[in-house]
Amino acid sequence: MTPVDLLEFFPFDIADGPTFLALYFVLSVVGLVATALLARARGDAVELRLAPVASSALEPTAPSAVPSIGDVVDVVGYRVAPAEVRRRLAIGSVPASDENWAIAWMRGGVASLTDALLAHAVAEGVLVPSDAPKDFDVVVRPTKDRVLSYFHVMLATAGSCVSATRARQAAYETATAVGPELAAEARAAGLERPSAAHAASRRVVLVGGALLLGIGVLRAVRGVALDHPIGYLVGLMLLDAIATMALGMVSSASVMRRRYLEWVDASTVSLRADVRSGRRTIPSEVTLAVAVEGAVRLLSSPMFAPMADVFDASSYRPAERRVVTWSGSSSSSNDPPWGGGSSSGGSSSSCSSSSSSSSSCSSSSGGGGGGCGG
Amino acid sequence: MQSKRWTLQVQGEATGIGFRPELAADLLHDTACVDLVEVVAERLFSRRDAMREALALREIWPIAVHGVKLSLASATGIDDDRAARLGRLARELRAPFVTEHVALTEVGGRELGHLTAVPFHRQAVATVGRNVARARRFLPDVPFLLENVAWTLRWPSDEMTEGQFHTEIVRATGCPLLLDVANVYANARNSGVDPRVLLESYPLDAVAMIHVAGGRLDDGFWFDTHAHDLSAEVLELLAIAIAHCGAVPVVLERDDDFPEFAQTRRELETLRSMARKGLPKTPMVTDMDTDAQAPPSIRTDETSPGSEFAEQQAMAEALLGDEVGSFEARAIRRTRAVLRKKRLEDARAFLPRLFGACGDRVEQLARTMLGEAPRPGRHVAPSDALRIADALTDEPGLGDDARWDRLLLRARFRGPDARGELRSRAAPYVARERIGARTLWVWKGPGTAAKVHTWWGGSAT
Repeated sequence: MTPVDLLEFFPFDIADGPTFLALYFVLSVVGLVATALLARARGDAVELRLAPVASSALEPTAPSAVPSIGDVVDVVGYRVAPAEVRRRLAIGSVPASDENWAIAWMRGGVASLTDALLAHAVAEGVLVPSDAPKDFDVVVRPTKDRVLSYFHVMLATAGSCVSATRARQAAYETATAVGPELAAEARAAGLERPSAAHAASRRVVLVGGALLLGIGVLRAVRGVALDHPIGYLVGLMLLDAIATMALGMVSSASVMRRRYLEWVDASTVSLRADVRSGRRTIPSEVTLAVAVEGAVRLLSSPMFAPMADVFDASSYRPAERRVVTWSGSSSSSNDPPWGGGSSSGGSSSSCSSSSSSSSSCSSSSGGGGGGCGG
Repeated sequence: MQSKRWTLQVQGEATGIGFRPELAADLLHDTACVDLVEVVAERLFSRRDAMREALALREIWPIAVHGVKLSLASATGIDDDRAARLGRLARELRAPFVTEHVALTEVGGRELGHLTAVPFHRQAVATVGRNVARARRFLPDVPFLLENVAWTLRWPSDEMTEGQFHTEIVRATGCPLLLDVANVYANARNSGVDPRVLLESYPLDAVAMIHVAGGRLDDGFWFDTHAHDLSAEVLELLAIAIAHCGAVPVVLERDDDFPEFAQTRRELETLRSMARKGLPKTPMVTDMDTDAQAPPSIRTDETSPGSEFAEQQAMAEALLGDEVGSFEARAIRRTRAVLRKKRLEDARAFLPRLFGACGDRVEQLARTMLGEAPRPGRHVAPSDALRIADALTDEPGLGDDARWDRLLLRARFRGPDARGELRSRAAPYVARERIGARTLWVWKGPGTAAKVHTWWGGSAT
């Protein structure tokens, strides 16, 4: 029995010509999409199975279930005793101010964290719009927040009066520097997909890709046996293989992270509306709003119009990567700026349009472009 | 007919607050200041964001569902669809209670726009019993509490006292009572009765939850405004109620003129310390017939729904028309004023951008507009909101927000028709509006409850 005899059934017996190629192309596209969805679902399932502590946060607190007729409805548990140790980055725990950075990081990485840092700085009065357009006075305040402390040092290093571009650069560099720590915090909170889940996803991708390639191989074997050209088919199979490998390398976001970010987004609907309308201007709330939904919607409020310059992404392109080292006088040379309680504090100055251009711009080492003083 | 035994046990002190967007940030900042929150169901029905928020908040506090538009006293029955949505909402939020008012909010399909008191007679008791039995078909798995309301007019046909009426209601429906102490105070004061005497005439053994709120005296009449601090008199009544009822959840209602949250927190602390003094409530057991069409104590064939409907229609005519009928003219004028104020508040919920940006200015303009506009029969709030948004599109400084709100309203409603009424939009919808220098697009899928999506197009040229 020849391969031709064995493969005398649909779709392998389709006559020569573009019909099979078209069918194979459609099958590949549909198959790869389905594989991607299945891989994600499989990864989610494994992640949820491996994260019992984190998933328990999704369970109701009190009461535990809707009562049914005949039940004794015991709602004694209205007052839920506060947990001895508050869980960070968990569904049901309203984010503390220092959790906003991790939220911003998880939502949009460096770009999102940069926006959140700038929003906090403007709301807290660390960056104060000066008389000169697109310039900001830097009024650094002492803070115990490690991320903020780092950012304040970066700002102070840039000068007492900075351009919007320099301010954004300082935030960007801070975000880049603290990112790994925030990623670790997310991991510790169970908001990162474990490697076992990634592996499970990849296995699904491999199986899906193998099935698609297998169909191509069988058709190719039949083509060779009949001495038919198979060049186009092999080309399509190569594309399949590349797409499969690419899919295998793509890491789906953690399902726990997605759920947590969705929960923070939903639980702060009113808070964010208040921030947008200008009713709430507490820095931590402004930061949370930006961390959750970005700066764009916030800027639609006239209240935050002065912030537009620092958020104007188009005005900033990451410049030459500056090596961030800390050699402050009060801490050892290798400590990060947030170490040792060495937050800079209390420096205050104002931009005068004549002096600012020399002071802040000359102190720039990263050179994001733009200048102080009109 | 299947008779089931309904047991409701509520014990332990619990202090809650009516959740309002204005309170959200402070509540999130200090989650321990309340033990539960109460959400208004109709607000969640009309705003998807509010629904998402409530679903998220249930991970922080238990959420009680408070209905305001089921119109349990309507002679023509309740809206089954609304009752079904209430049931679905309670299940989604895992609500420990669903509460609704013993009141009229619509008559013959015409929205009154406010919780209007019902006549204190046996026919009304029968109607409420029938409607509650019907509502319970859609709320089979959650305790259903009935709340007393504050009245701004009394009916010429009253034949029993307020306390007797609510005792009959509890007996007829088998439902526990949500006692609004502020409403008891307002009603007592406005009828010249000792509030304590009126309170004690209520079936206090059946109370499973308490509401308190502030009010104010205006032109010799006490209004339960939910916009003022708690008065000493209401707190005094609350203490008496707790002494009788035992420790039941006490919920503070504040809907407007929000003070600094520190003041609200002080009020909550006061309520908590008072609730602690209540003895543990003994389990309250009531029998209810979940499949009954008629309440147990009053048979529907003793009543004449036709005459009751005529009576309710006459009241609706008096409130929405020009004639006062057999009602006291002053009471009708007073109630009309309440309805006008409420109408603006209801429209406000559909104009988040306009009121969010320039609330005071918009309120002033909107009040003038609505004062002159005829009241549509149904979908009053979105109709009014659309009218306001339409009128403000050319207003300097408000045009963009008005166009934004109008676009979202049009995505959800079609019309107005010849009678000035809107209809929910079931068909898919795509439209755009120029907002400033950009174009805002909206898209809605099929179905009246479909989500409305927005996205920005490119800069307008």
